[in-house]
Amino acid sequence: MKEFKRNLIVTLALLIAVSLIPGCGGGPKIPIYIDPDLDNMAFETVTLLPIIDRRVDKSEDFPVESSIGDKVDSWLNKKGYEVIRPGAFSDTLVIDNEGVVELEAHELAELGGSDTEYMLVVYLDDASGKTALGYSFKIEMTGLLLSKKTGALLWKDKGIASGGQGGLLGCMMSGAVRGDTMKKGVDLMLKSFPIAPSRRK
Amino acid sequence: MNVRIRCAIGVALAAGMMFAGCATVTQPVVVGTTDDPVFTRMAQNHEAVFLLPPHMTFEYAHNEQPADPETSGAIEARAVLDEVVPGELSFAGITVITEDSLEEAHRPLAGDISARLNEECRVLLSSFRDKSALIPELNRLGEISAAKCACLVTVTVKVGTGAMYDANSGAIAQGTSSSAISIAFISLTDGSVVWKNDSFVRYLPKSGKFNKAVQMLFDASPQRRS
Repeated sequence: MKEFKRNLIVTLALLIAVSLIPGCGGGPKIPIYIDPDLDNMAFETVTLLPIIDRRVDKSEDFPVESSIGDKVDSWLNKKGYEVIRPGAFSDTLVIDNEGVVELEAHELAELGGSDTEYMLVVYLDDASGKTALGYSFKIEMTGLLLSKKTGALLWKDKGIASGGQGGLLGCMMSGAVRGDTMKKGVDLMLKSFPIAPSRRK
Repeated sequence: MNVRIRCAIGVALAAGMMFAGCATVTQPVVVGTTDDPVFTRMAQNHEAVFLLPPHMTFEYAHNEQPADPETSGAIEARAVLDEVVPGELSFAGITVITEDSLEEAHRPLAGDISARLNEECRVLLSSFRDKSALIPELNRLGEISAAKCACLVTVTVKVGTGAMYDANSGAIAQGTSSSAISIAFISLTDGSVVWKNDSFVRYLPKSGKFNKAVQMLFDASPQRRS
């Protein structure tokens, strides 16, 4: 009887453990790079530089700044940050999208206005709409958080999303597919971005 | 004819017409124009270029971690580049010089310089970085090869997921792999980029579309246009 009880307890414990496993699937996303001290940096404002378009294939024509920049802006707001969008890469440096593409992380830190402390640089790496037995859209982007003061890279991650719908329905809802995939890409990229200190429990 | 059979034929025709309007094929994309005066002049003057070994990088698309070159198509990429690049340059009229075509006494030096230039390809291809440290080596390569320019091909392969189709929901998704190929002629006198072209294909080098993408780099060739 005693042994039966012990077996029953062990079986129940195993069942509970197994039932908990599916709930553990969606853990936090690990970024490509995160500064170990980032959690201790108490900043609530992020400067979002204009989106850097470094696609080789630029045939997919869409307003990059409003399509991606606005989504990144709203994501950062949700995480508790105040977002500054300067509209130009620098107050003092005359540099365009083509020039910015070549810069390394520590060189990017020279960008931003004089009041910039922490800035988020977002690269658009690829965007592709494909109409073949339906409509599909793919987007790839990279985000870097930099400290203007030290020039250090604090966080880096990527977001790649690909989605679509087959058949005539897919062809008809191409706009929705694009919007949804772009949002998914931004979500994936910023999933590992730290929450603002004031929102942390 | 049976009404059911007529209906089935009608539905099949309608479906066919719907899909016909949707079908397009993804092709490699090339950046340069077909009417390129620099390439045309070099081809017409049969100018000589020294072909550097290609610079290839392989990484995973989602996290930029290095990917295994062998399984990512390095062998296939190298085979295509070794065949297409000298072939297309020669076909255009440009004289191709390689390490093997130099006098035996010059080969070790050419090999060393090639390796160094390959390592510094990011600086070499830049439009604003200081190249002064590389100028003596570029000049020396020019002397031993009698070429005016070095030809550098770079390939960046991103290994991603494959395309997807879910028969239950009708959801489709594109693959996320890609290959970016770039070719540049770098002056052996002052290190400036004399001519450059890029092509891009959303496939790994194992795909036949990679071959097409490499060929498209030479769309500016007068011979290909005629």
